[in-house]
Amino acid sequence: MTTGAAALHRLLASAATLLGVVTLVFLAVRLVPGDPVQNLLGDYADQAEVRALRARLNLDQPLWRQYGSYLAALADGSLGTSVEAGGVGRTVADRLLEVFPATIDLAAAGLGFALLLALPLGFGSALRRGSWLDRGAGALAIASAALPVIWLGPVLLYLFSVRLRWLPLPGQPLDGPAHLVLPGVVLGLALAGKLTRLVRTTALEALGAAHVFVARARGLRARTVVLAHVARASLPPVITLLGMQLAALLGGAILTEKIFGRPGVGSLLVDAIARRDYDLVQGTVIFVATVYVVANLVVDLLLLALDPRVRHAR
Amino acid sequence: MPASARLRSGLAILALLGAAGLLGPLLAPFPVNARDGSALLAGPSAIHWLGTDEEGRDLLSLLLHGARVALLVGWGTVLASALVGTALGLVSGLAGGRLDLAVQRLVEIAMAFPGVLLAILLVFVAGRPGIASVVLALALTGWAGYARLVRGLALSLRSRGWVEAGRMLGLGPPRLLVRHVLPAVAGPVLVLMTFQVGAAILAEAGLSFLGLGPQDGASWGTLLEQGAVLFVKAPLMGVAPGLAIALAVLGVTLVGDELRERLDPRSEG
Repeated sequence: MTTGAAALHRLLASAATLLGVVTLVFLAVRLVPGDPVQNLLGDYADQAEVRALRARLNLDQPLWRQYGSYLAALADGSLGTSVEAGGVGRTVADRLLEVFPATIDLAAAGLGFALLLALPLGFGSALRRGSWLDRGAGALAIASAALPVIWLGPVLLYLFSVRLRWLPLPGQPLDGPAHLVLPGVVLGLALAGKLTRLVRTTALEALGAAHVFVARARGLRARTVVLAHVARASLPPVITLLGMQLAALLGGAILTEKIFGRPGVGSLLVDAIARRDYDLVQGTVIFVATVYVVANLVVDLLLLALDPRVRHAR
Repeated sequence: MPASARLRSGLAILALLGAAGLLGPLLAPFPVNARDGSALLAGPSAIHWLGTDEEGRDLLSLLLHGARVALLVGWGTVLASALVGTALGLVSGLAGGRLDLAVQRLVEIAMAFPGVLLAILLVFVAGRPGIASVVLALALTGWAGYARLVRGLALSLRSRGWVEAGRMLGLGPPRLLVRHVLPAVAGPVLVLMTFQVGAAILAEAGLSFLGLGPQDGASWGTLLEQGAVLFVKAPLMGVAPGLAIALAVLGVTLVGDELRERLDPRSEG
């Protein structure tokens, strides 16, 4: 298969997945036991009110017709209408795009922290196997998997913002990178642990490979060998892991934003749940899933460009 | 840490958690909703070993009840996911063709929802969820990992000598499956199950932190949500439930790491 054909194949698969995502969300919202209108209005709602809301949400239509108007709202890019305080509605897409940059900042901070910690630690522990650095990295990898974001966040917040006052408290205006330090650390720590392990494993494999042995035998300096050969060999697996872990990063962002009171897609979702804003909840879930699918598509296309073997692995 | 020490400490943690989950309500000094009006947000004392929350409920009792929720959601999610995922993975890998394509597409759709996202949606729609609904919501995406893993294993098994030999000897598909394929798949599935218990406990805590957890039990995540804002007044409220979660996840991670090295030596990372 040529690179172009493989890329096209991947693109079509992603499109099919997205259609499936959208359909699953549609079915979940309508078929899960529990009446959205009753949930929204409470148990003692007036019957006329119930009927009116049912009509406004298109829930009085047959399922296939609901599906049609649902797809139409997705296709025109609005993702539906959000009910805001005062009854003024804006499109779900408007509200999402307004807060999305803040979530990107957070995810980038988490990713940046993870890479900053994991690359030196991973390569270092591979080069000095069995040293205290290696053992420390191993312990960190295990501990970071167990520490829940919802605990680490409040604890660090208390230590660094309340006690030591080194970093800003939640609710203060967002300016400067100081606001991203704690949320980035909290969000990125689990990823850092996984990444350290992966970098160490791939680096150890690469260090044992024939071409690295030859490069060393030719008298190249250790640092040159590591940068030129070992680091390059670790790149594809690291990119693959990052693509897969993006899910955890986006999921963790929802909790991190709530803990630190940051605006973002996660806060918007939590807020929409509290207000029982159906279109907004549904739209946010679709939006996040779409971001994830598209990001993974980009990762796959990157790998396709980086590693010729991927083209033939079918 | 040497491997055997890791496995032993992991198993010890799991045993502790299991005992707390099974016997928690019996061991707990107070019923879960008993309110002590004379001790609101009290520190540790002879009566309340870990202190109380702002409604005067005993923190130690709440934690012990929380172990039951964590255990039920953790293992419930994993059992449901592994059962469905393994079955679909076997069908997909052994049958091939259109069925295989359909299952693979479903796997990709389920995996497109990051973390607890689909569970958040389902629990939101369902209204006040119980433990069973939270388990179902988590399992609705949780099966996909097993399906992908088992499909891969089944594909490589199909052409292995002993399976081919069995087929030539005239063994029917059910017997082939039970005698020759399932035993080879069991190890890696068990490893994945162990890790997923930890992931499910974390997911449940996260859902409860957002107010979307099971309403029929005291969840560690709910306690943390209360404790997060009470750090200054009652540090134990903010620390103890988090340590409980971390300990539980650490236990399954240690055991999972060890199992992986013993049962599934090829996989890494």
